[in-house]
Amino acid sequence: MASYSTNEFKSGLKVMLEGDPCSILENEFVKPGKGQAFNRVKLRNLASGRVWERTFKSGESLEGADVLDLDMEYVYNDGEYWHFMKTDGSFEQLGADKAAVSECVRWLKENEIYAVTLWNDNPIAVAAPNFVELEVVDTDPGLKGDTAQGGTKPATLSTGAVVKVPLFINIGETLRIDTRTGEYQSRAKS
Amino acid sequence: MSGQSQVRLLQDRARLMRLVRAFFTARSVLEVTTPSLGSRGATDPHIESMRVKQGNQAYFLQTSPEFAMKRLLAYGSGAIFQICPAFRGGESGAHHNPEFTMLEWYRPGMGLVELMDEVKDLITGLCREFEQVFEPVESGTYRSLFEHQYSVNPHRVSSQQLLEITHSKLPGFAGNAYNEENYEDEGVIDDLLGLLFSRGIEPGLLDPQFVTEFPATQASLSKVGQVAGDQVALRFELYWQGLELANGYDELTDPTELTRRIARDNRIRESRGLPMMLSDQRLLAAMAEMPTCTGVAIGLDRLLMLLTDKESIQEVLSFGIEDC
Repeated sequence: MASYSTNEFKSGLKVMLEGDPCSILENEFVKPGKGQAFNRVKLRNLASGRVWERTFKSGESLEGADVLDLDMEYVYNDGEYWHFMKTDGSFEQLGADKAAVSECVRWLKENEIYAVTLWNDNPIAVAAPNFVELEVVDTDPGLKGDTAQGGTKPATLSTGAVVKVPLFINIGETLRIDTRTGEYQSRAKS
Repeated sequence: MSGQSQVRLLQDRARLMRLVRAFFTARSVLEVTTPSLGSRGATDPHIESMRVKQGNQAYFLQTSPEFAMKRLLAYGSGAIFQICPAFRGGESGAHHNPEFTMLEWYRPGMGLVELMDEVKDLITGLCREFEQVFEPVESGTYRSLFEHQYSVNPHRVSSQQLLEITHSKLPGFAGNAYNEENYEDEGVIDDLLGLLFSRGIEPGLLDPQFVTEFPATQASLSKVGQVAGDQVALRFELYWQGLELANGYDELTDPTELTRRIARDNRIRESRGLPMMLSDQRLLAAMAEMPTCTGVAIGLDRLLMLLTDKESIQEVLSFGIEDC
């Protein structure tokens, strides 16, 4: 893998830092008039999702990380791994562990397409599409009448996720959920 | 950038140039023009002179007009100023562009305090025209600012102490470049002082403030003096909105001392694998003839940023480095 010097750092570049693959978010050039130049860099650790801030002496370099974002179809969970299939017609499947799937587990629906981040061909992170459509498996009975009223109640979805929904929603309905906020958007158009 | 704001920028820039020229003309300071190309470049290890070829001869794009202007002073030019492009390799960011516009002037017979007053007068007048307020707070010494932030005297601190402070105050300091093997390198103290100053002190200098008495190892082409038992560089910098705007020197006029500093620069360059830079014999000869004087340089693009409330230097350039 190539290595990249601080002057090649730019947003989106994938590099190795302290053993983890990271994506550069911001790169700020800091230089006292006649002093040594530094780069203040914000990176997202792709394995943990955490944002790191580091200061490098300008000219230092980091090794590139072999990281690839791939659209893959979620197939099934075997109790330990969540299996995703490539959508390139190869039917090749890869298993993602709990750390990789992380929060996204709440939105995993079979046959949906997810963005899977691969590092050296292993899934390290899974991102849901912005919107998913999921069925309500449990909620209090719907209230008839004024659907404009603002009240909400919890509803459990087929994936186990619990979201706040309007009072008029019933078990069996399919809802459109914004995975970025975890909020109900609308009933799914059937 | 939209066409309209582009035109507005050009007008603001033209107005700035006009006002600066009027200021110096009124004070009988002579405008000069010196070449952007020079046969010698800056020796400072942290400044990269860009190389260009002309025939079989290599030249350097000047990182400031300092060498040439000092030769004019030695000829007896008297007080001079210049507005010109300056070039520094590898400097690119929100506050840096590898090519930028510098205002530099020299005042034979003037002291540093008087020169700071002149800088203040110039910027105060410009601010009035651009409807900004410029009211510097009391000057601070490098030592007082540094002690306030880090509780050590920057003129006496060891590289080991600085490394410890850096690791405790800047948790994100990757530090691969500074470890047990190379912290004895004679440039390390300045690197770490610079890092701590630019990360921990500069961002807090929001009100305009002159900072004086820099570490002697950062004297560059200024004189060094004794203050309270410390060796300090007789120079100042002006900060505003956390940005370094101006850099003024009580100018070194001793060629022997300059030769010593160039040798040190080259030792640091060699230990870091940087190209060695030849000393400028014409500058050394001029230095012996030069009058006692002070000089100061102002980054005009940065000043224009502040005058027009812009966040990035790219916004005040007709075309920045990504667009030229």
